[in-house]
Formats: sequence, structure tokens, C-alpha cells
Amino acid sequence: MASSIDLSTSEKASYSVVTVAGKIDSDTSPQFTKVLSGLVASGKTKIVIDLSAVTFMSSAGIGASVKILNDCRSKKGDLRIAGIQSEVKKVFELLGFAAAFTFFANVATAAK
Amino acid sequence: MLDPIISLGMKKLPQEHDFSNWIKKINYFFTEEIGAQTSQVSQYRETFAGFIAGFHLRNRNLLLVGIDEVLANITEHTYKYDKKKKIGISVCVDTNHKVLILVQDNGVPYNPKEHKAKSPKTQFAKGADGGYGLYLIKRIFYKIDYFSQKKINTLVLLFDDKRVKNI
Repeated sequence: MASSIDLSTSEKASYSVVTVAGKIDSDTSPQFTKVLSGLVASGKTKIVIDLSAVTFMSSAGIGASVKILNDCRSKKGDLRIAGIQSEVKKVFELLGFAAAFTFFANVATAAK
Repeated sequence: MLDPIISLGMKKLPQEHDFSNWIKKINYFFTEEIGAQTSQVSQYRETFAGFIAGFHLRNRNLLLVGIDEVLANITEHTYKYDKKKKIGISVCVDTNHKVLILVQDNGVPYNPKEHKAKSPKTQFAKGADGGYGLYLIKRIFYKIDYFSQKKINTLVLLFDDKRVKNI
């Protein structure tokens, strides 16, 4: 069975929260990108991505996150990552992005 | 001597590209052929994860990322998403948690050894959504080799769970 992801959006405090479940790779990253780009396009540039239910992320997902982070910051917004699993975070670390993104334990702390 | 059954036709590796001695004892061997589609890359990754599930690999997820990046690159750049094109993959796992992977295609040759990976830091500064895959491949695999013969390109990937760089 190929990868699939579930995506949902909600609002918490001043942040838009994108909750993702599944595996983000070259097959599913277009869906991931579409949701995040849609938020930015509608002026929502303070975003939390809840990755607590994401078990795999390739460079396709990380690249999408980099672009959205850049878009958000250029509009004085921010992108925060909540609940990332250690195995997924290792890929960010391998790219040297451990400090480039801001990671939070969960959505509640990220959206404060 | 490793004698991989490569689906694209090659029966034996040229001696200078044969790393079978790196594998001391073959514990598991499997070969597959997939089409050049992102869905099939995902599907193969899941199959691969099942094959290696019984081995205690500390960097198991990074190995999955590595194989995913390689197959996604061939699908996108070498085959341009041509669904009729095939990728052959053979994998050997040894008892010391070394994994030898052969990936074959018959597209335009692309030797990763001849290309410098883009700096993630630079790509990040540009806000680039791509250009990270080759860097990950070079970091995850202990050694990479590549050769083209009779219109078949073979990428040899050596993964050593104990020697993944800086993790």
C-alpha cells in the first residue's frame, strides 16, 4: 500500500494548527504543501505543524516545511513544529536544521 | 561471490564495482522491480521496512529515508515520472548490520559521486523546497559507487548502521 496522510486544520490562540498523520514523502508532500500554502495565501502566517502522528518524513516534506517557514517569516509570521518523533527529528538534525526550526513538545506549548 | 539477480539484465558486477566482500555473511537477500512512480517508491519503502524489521538497526529510519531519496530521485530526475520505466533494487543484509543495496535504471546516467551535494544551510537561507536529497544520501550511506554498462546504470550503496555520519 502506498503512503497516505491525513491533514486537518484548526485554530489555537493566534496560531493555525495543521495536524498531520502518516508519512510525508514525495508521494504525499504535495497534499502537505497545498494545505500549508493555502494558509499562507489566506494571510495565516503563524502556523504550528503537529507532527506527533507522523512516522516518516523525507526531504520532500522537510523542503516543503523550509519553504513555508521562509514564506511565514517574510510576512512577519512564524512556523513552529510540535510533537515531532525522535526518528523524524533525526532527519532534520542530519540536515543541520535542529536550530533552524523551533520544536515544541506539543501543540499547547507551541501555540502559546 | 554475490550474484545478484538484477531485473534489468545484469548478472554479475564488474570486479572493480563488486563490494560483495564487504558483506561477510548474507543473512537476507531480496530483489524487486518497481515502476517510476512516487506511489511505488512509497510502497517499496514499506516493503523494504518489512524486510529489515527483524534486524536491530539503530538508524533504521535513516536507512528508509536514504532508499526513499534514491528512488525518488530516479523517478523524478532520471525517468521524469515515466510510468513505463523500471527501477531494479537488490538488497543484502548481513549479520553485522551492514546493508548492501544495488539500484539499477536504464535512464540518462547520473553519477552522484560526480555531483557535489547542495549545502542545506544555503538552501535553507534561500527558502528552497528542494535540493536536500543528495546531501542526505551522501550522509546516510557509508559508501556510494556508480557505473554504467550496456545502458544500465548501477548505483551501489553501502549502509553501515554503526558508521552513519554524525548521528
